[in-house]
Amino acid sequence: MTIGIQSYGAYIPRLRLSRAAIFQAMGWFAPATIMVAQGERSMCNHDEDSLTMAVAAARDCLRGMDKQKVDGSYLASTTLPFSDRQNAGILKTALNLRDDMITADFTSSLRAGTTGLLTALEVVRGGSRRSILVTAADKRETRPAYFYEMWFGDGAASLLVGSEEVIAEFKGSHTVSYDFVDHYRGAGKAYDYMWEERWLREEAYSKFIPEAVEGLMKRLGITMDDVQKVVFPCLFKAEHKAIAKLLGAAPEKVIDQMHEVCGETGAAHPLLMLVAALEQAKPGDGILLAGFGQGCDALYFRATEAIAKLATRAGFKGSLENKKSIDNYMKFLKFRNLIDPEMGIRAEAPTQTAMTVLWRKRKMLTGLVGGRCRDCGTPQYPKMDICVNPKCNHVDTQEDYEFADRTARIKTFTGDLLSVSVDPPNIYGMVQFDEGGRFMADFTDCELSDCRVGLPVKMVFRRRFTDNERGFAGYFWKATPQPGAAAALPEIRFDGRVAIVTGAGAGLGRAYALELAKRGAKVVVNDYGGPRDGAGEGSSAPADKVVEEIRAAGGEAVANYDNVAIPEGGEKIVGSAIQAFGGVDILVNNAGILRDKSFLKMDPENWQAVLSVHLGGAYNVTRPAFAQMREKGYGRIVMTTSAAGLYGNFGQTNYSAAKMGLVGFMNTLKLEGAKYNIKVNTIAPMAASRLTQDVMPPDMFEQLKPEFLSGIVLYLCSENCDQTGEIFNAGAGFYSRAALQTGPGAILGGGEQIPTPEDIRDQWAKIDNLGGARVLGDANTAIMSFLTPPSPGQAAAGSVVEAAGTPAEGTPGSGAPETFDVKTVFARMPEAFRPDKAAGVNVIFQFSISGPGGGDWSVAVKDGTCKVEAGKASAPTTTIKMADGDFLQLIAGKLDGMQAYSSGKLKVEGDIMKSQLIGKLFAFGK
Amino acid sequence: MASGIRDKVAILGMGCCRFGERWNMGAEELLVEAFQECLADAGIEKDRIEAAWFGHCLEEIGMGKSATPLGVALRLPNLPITRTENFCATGTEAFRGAVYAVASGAYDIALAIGVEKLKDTGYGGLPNAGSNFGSLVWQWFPNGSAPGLFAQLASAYAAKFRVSDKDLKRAISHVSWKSHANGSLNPKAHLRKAATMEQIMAAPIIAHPLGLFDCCGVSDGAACAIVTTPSIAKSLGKKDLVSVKAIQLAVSSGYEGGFNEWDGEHFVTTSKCSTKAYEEAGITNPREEIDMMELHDCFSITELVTYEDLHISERGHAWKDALDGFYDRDGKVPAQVDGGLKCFGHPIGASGLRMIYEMYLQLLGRAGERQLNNPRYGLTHNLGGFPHQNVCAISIVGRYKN
Repeated sequence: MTIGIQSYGAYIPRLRLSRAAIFQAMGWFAPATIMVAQGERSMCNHDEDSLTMAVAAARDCLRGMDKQKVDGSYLASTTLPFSDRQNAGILKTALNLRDDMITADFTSSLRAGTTGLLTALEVVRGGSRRSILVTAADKRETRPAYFYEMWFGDGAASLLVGSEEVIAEFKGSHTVSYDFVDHYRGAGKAYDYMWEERWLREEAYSKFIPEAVEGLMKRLGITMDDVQKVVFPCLFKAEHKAIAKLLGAAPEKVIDQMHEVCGETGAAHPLLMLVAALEQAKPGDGILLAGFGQGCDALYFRATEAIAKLATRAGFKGSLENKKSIDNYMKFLKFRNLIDPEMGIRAEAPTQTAMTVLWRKRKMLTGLVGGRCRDCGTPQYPKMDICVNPKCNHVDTQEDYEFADRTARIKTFTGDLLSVSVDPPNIYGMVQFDEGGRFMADFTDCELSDCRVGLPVKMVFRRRFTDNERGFAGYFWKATPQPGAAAALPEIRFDGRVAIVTGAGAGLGRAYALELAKRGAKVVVNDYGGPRDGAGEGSSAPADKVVEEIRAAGGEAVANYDNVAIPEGGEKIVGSAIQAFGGVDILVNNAGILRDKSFLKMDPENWQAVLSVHLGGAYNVTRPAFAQMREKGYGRIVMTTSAAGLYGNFGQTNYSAAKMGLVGFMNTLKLEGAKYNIKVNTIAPMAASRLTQDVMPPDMFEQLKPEFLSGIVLYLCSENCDQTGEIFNAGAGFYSRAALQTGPGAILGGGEQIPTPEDIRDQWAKIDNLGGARVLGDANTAIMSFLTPPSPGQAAAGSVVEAAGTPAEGTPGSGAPETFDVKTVFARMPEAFRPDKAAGVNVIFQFSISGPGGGDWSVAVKDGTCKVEAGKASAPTTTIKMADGDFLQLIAGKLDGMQAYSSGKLKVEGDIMKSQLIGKLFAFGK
Repeated sequence: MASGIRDKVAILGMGCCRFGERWNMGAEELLVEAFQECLADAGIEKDRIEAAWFGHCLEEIGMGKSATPLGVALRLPNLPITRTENFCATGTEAFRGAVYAVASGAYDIALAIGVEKLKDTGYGGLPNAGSNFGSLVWQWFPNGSAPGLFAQLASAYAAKFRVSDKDLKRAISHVSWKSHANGSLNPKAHLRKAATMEQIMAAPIIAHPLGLFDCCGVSDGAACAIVTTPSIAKSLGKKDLVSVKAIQLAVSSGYEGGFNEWDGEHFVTTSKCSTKAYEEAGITNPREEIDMMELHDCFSITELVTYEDLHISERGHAWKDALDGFYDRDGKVPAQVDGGLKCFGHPIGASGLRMIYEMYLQLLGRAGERQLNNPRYGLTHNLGGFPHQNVCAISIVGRYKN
């Protein structure tokens, strides 16, 4: 009968502590530890121990195997949580294995792992048990600032041993047992006591391992030539090499002892190294395994053909890859209880476990077994007498249903800084299983920033609490993000949104369509499918191809072939979005053609064709789309302009006119869309596409991938994008804002005398000056500001200042002016008064400011003086009413007076003309 | 055939302590303070009281179990007294007992009184029960806190209704801002300082995204009501009667936390309980007919979603209504007029009764600076437990109509 290893698994805790960090903290005390301060050591999270690691390794081992065939479970460790309560029994309950099986703890020696493995193999060979699961794990405790803290790592490995589908056949073994006390730990002591390392190296490692291996080889009649993988642990790297040499093993055969990446994992280590060997082994490879500790076990295996067919599992490699490197040595010390920070009175809560409840509910608590209703099929946790489905509620219809290996997602979550935790915040929330069932669970091995509703998670067995008073440890299951899930679930999503992209059959449009669909949008891929100059017949092929690409990647899309250049085309495009997906949220006007000609050769047909597709096309599609968006109270529109439009390009008068036309279109559309949460923005792409093929050198063409535009276009299409009415250059990773800015200008002749051409010529520098230029949000604001001189503060700033019409949020330096309040403004108004401008002025301004920070003030200007009083004047010349927030914005220069007036934020009663003096009389600029 | 509670019971008198950190008063003393005010307001002698319901939730840090502590504190002469507890809905539960006793005709005059002494634990926040929270639940339920379990609503609401984190934070901050503004007008409130939006939004996080100002504090206090039939109240000389229009309770079935439907963003119990309460009170358009309310604002997010569960804001729109000031004191449906749990305080056993106290004062025109203009109906919403498993208690009071 062939017996041997059927399967393997491993687990290394995700946290890896940089040894350099240990040295940085304690090197002053133990300078010699620098010698071993390379790489990282694995470190249990606060909720992990030997038992939890063993469960993780065993689960990995059992992937793809039939749990019901397991007849025994051995657990090997020198650091088990219970001295009396069979730990292998807890493991078996966590794995939900059969009750009629043998369980045993192998302990008290670092050799316990290989001894457990050897025993299992011999039992199976004896014929009484079909297969036995052997798991080894260790979390060795050390005092700070010594070599052992550096050498050791935490970890576990698991092997399933049996006679069916064996991947590595067991050929034989040889064991020597010696009471060599290189270290010991008396019962009840926390830490090992070590004797001199030199003695361990010279008298034990160097003697017992060769003795056992030679005995094995003699017994089996093999030599090192029959061995392709040599597996044995040794704390000392140099000794490890020396022993390999002594055994006659070429270096490439020797499995690394893993110091730099993990550390030595005690009783688990030979088995962990064996798993690493099995991952690399080819059919026919001979594997020599030696476990060391008060003697040595030597075993020999030969890999079979079946080794290549084993179902995938994490193993050593996967466990090693799933890592989070940390350099917080204090955290290690706290998790190991080597420091005793104040936990507060809240942590004094009672922790008594009722054993009767634990027994009654052992499958639920330790095994994460819930129920599934026989009658309605609903999986549910916990399993209770009455089904949870309100449409069912049948009694005693629940069958056992395992939840541990099922996929799930986060339904709700939080990071709690109040509940007791050694690693705040406590992250927990509702976990929803994909196949049904849900419950509130603690999360572990994740950061709050990883958490999102919908994030895929898996369940892991962890220590829930430690009852220090009574020496009891309680276990349960927690949720942890699937490795790589957090990175794969991007934040900006378009689930439930419908997007139309015109000209999406290739180039930029296709890039946008693909990315939108990937992030959950339902996309209408429009492309007429015609040639670049737009002349001639269209084709369904381009749009169809992109739709196919989207569907193959699991997204949703429909093709549309209508021509944007005619109104009916636009109607049909939007119609297809409504028909297929019920509406439209996002429109990217990207369709365009090219007919470059120098101006004199630019005949009317070519001029018109380009305008019809770019500008007319945007009008034709946007109009019906806008109607939908207005109904919904939501919309995101992106226009495509070009550097040619913004700055000019020889031979492209038609194209430039059309592209600039789109900017004008956006300028007004943004105003009309504002109150419906419809935002309109424009991009000027620099990208490789049909339209730029001949204008760029080939290597630049290569660099300018259309995909570079997706990020910014999708951002502008996203819900949380606050921008509207803005233009962005983008391409090859470069992004910039482009804007039309208006200089302060000049008023000649006092606004009454008509300036002559000579006056204009003489004042040209002033007229032409762009110093202090501003972006203006709309025509009315612009015109009003031209005819009303700006307040001295604004002009004095000399920097670009945003006037109303563009959003205050997101623009640099436009933080809410909350450091001063209304009262302060009026208190300081006399300081801002400009007596030199007050000649002949005799007015009383009454300010009525509403809101919690508001009040009434009268400001009397007479005889070149200014008097500010709280309260209401009896006969004000002009009354100004504003809300407190708006008033402060006005004073700060962030809200233009005329814009405030035209939008109703500033109400003026009495002599309206006199209100214009305010800007002249008071210098509010900051 | 049962006919509900509408207009069968009138409130004869009410009393309420100043809530706060009453270091110099134990629960026994707080009970007497509220009781004395209540008796004086009712205008009767103690010996007229025939039965009592005693709301006390955290007896392990308070007065201990059973109804005996009330009998002893108030020296009630061997009266029938029931102790009630239903998490934070304990106060309304006590009220409910007294009201049903009178409506059943079993007693003429009944007392409902609730008290909590939370400040003897030695640390901030609600006490940590550990393994005393139930021998099974404690072995698996997450290591959570009240703020954390209610904060779950935020992630769910934001995801379901696609509200940005920024907008949701502003909306819940506004909820607290409004309660602080109201609390500053209430001499009996625990917290009486107004707070600014900036303060609120920048406050340290307790359980993401809830910050310090999103969580009601921990307070000591007691509140009391004496109820009787309208005819008895009239015969005792009361003119403007405040009567109970509805009292409803709804307790979770395990559906939310165990079945696959609930999205985590609202209270199944409140949605159903409010519908029943409106029916019982004869209210068909709550948005128009409810003039004022005291919601269970243990956390700002709870209040926000409750606007929808009370069928006053549309699903997914509460955050906008809140920011529009709809629930401000000068809004359409003022909520937490007395400062709410947030500012008045939350001594668990007393809170349900304190909510009714404010509605009662408002209906009688006795709310001082906080007085609203001619309210007709006042609604109280008192919630115990957690979003995924809880008890919702709603009462509606108004002017007695024959």
